[in-house]
Amino acid sequence: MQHTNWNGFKEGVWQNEINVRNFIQTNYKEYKGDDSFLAGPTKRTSDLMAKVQELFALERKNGGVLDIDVDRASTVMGYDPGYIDKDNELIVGLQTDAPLKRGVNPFGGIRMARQACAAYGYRLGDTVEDEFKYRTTHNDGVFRIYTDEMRMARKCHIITGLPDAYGRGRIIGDYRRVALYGIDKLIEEKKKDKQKLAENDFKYEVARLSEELFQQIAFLGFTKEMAAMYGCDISEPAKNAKEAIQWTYFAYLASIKEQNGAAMSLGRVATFFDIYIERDLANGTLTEQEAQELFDDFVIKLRVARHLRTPEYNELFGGDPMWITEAVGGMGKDGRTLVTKSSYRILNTLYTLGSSPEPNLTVLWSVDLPENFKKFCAKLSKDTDSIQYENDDIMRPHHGDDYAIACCVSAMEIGKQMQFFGARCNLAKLLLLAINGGYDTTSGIHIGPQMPVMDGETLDYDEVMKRYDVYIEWLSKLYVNTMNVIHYMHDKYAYEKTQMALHDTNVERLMAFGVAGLSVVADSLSAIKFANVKPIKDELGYIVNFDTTGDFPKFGNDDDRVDFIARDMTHKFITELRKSSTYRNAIHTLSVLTITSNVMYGKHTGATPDGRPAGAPFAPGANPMHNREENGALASLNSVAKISYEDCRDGISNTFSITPDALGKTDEERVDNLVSILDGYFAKKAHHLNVNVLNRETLIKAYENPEAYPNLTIRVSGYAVNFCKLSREHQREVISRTFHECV
Amino acid sequence: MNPILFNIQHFSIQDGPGIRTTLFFKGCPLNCIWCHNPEGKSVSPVLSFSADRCVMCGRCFSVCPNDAHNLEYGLHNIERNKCVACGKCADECSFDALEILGKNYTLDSVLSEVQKDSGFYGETGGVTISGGEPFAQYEALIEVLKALKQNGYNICLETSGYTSREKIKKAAEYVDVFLYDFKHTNPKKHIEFTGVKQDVILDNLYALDEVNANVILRCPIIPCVNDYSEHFEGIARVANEHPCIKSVELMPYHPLGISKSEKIGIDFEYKNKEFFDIQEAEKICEIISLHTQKPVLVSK
Repeated sequence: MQHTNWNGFKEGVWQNEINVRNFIQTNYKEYKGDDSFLAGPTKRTSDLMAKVQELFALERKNGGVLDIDVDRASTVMGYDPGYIDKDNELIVGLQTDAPLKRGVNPFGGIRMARQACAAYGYRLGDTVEDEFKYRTTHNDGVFRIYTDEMRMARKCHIITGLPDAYGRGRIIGDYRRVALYGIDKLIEEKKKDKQKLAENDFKYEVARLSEELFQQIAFLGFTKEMAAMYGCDISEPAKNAKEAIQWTYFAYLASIKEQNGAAMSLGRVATFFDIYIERDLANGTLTEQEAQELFDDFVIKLRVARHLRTPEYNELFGGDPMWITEAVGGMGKDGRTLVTKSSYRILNTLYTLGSSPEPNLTVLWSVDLPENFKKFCAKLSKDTDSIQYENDDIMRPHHGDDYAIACCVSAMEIGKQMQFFGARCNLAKLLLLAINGGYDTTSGIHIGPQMPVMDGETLDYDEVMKRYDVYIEWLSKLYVNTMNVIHYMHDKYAYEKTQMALHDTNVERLMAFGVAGLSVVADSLSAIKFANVKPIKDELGYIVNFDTTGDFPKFGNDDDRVDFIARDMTHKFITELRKSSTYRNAIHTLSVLTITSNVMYGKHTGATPDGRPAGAPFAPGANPMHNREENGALASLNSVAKISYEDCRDGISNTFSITPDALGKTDEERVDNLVSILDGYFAKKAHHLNVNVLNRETLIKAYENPEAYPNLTIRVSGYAVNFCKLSREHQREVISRTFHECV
Repeated sequence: MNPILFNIQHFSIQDGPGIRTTLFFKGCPLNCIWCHNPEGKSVSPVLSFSADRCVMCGRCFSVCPNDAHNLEYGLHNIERNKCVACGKCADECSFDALEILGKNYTLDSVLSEVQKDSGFYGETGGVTISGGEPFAQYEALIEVLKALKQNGYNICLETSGYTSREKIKKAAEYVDVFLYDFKHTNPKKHIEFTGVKQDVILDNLYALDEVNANVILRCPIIPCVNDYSEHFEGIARVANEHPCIKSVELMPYHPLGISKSEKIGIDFEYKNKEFFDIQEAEKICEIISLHTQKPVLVSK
């Protein structure tokens, strides 16, 4: 097949089948140079961004939500076209008819929609209430078949954050397909797939898929109509860079109008766009300045994307995130880097538009990345704290070279794999449950196998482990089954029609389980093994606290004795999970990731044998517990690197914070040292790193909230110290001194 | 001979180029009044007590063989003359309030500690040996240097230069960069503030010239001790005099040595609690730069 809008592209199998990867591989131009070619913001860009900043300020003033359209349920075509500044936008399209005005999405659950409106002083409109009176939501479906035990597990917070009342998210449509092939071609292919199903016996699986294809086709049509409302005909392939970005954005926009998933990630678009930009630059229809403007405008749209969430949701995932994750860089299977000039351009938006948490720019790091690009990324980290890093060298063997990241750390091959998001379970709480023989002291609920409370003057490691294994086995089965319920119902009542239309019809499914409190458990088990842990019982005879004496190795100090406890725990857990079969034969994966819910998990967990008091926060993700890292930042990185990606294929999150002065004396040194740290960490097969090079403001935040900055290292003339270990007085000293430097 | 170290710092940025591991050798013949590592002065181990971490559980009282711990006016007190730094109390303390500083390391254990960081060294980083004064444990120093060099590490050695000509030349066979302290221009004041004569120190710089060593001249800037123009010019003069000196680093005073002294029960003579103003230090940089072509910068 040939299309005039493809003129100038190199031929490949991508012309005969839906295959964006092949298009990229045959057409992209790798770039190994530095950032000197980049253009800054134009006046148009700056003016538009200033308008957006004003809206952001208003939104903050209004308590976090600017406006809600309460009179209709959010759908792809439900709103009139909306603009920030119609005459000055290059890329168009908003979720509702005005910027930052949020739509209501009750398909996951009407109660959540109602609560979310109420939380911000609105009332869900009667039209929506009436419409959903006789409609089954995903939430209704789940609670129809939840077992008593599932409800109890949810109630006592041993498994939490379950996507049973909101969109599950973590699905990445291959939005690029719309730009490369046009909607009509995609509809045609889906129709063929549906036709082909007629060859099968119409058993349940076939019937379900056939109906899903019907929905996919319908929503591709809606997406086309939505674009038409903005005056764009996306039925044919995009003919230039501007259209390629616009078409791709429309596909993404349709998805976030249809779904309010927890994480609505973008994929890996920059290098795809680069091919169009290179073509336009070559034929003289685009300049570098204009190319940057297109990226700037596109990213502005991503920065104003919003979903309406409840305060409870915000407790789990603070900061109103959408996880519009864009994977940048990485290497190809053939050894060429996938870094292009547009990898720089999209990262450059952090300079042209200022730093921002969204889109969630994620650099796929490889030791083989071009040195110039490594340095540019490190410079961005230092200047903006806005990017995260993930190890391409360990993900590529599993997911190929056209995968992207959903949410924070979940890798999936674009358009070929999807994920059933599974929140996480609380491993620390499970340990306490095991010790108390199936009684949760924080909620007063009996759950799981019922046994006597562990006795003895001190806890015996082997006894505890024997007990813990029983409970891990029990919870794993319950956890998998709970997920099966949720995703069955989500497919049934809140299926992602637009996003799944942008996947192959036969996708591979991953079921992503998660654990929280790994470092608490590792340290607690280490305490039981290497020190003396004396249980303290309440008047009912349940263990509610521990008297721990003697020293024990703590996770985060590069000490194998405890690091291997953490490593073995994840291995044991995924092995147990794999024993229960999953809905749609999804592949079991596991993450060590808490996002910001480590505080909430801690709140619902009693005192632990590691000395952590009841209710105190966990460390985030796979981070070691704060103030326990005695051997510095590198030892902490080494400990986390020991957790195997093979066991935790859904990601191992680690957050690394450092002050500029602790990173080096000059800017150049800081960049070089950060590159060395990233190279060193990822060479150890570690998976993920958030990098914070903290400025003055962040230092003050660290003073007010030290738990959030466990690794913060500062330099004081001759030596380095952990900021949290300094006395309050010295912390103040250091802050005032940093102020001084910044004046 | 095994070295006695009081700290191994696993992520060191300021003590030489790139990311480094710094080994702090115990023992120092100097007696600088502003010393920021007072725990490095004596070669033998010493007990450090952080009062802010102590919860007065009393466990240390019962395990001390010499009854060095007691209560005085309701506060935890340590009778330093009774303490032999046996470490029994530190083992017993669950709150990290008590700690023994100074430990005998085998060569293998030093190397395995260094090995943990080596993945992060990149092209420029490596190992820095500091103190105390590393030459105070000369035999151990040479063995550590040899072993590190055999493993291909880039080595920086931080020294006061207060040692013999032969010893510093021997060390130079293994060292990539010397971080060489220069504390005072005036010979009399040098004795007054550091307790030793400066002639040996100055003479050893000629020794390093002879072997074509690379030296970064490190100059602590201490208020009321050496923060005046005569010394700044002196720094430039020394830098100009020696081809081995490639650059100058100013180390502005910080007061963190004070609390360290308190922890090990030493009375700190120099009671200035103010951090040296960094902008002021930048100005001093400019003044020195008027008198030398070599790069001068402030270590923050």
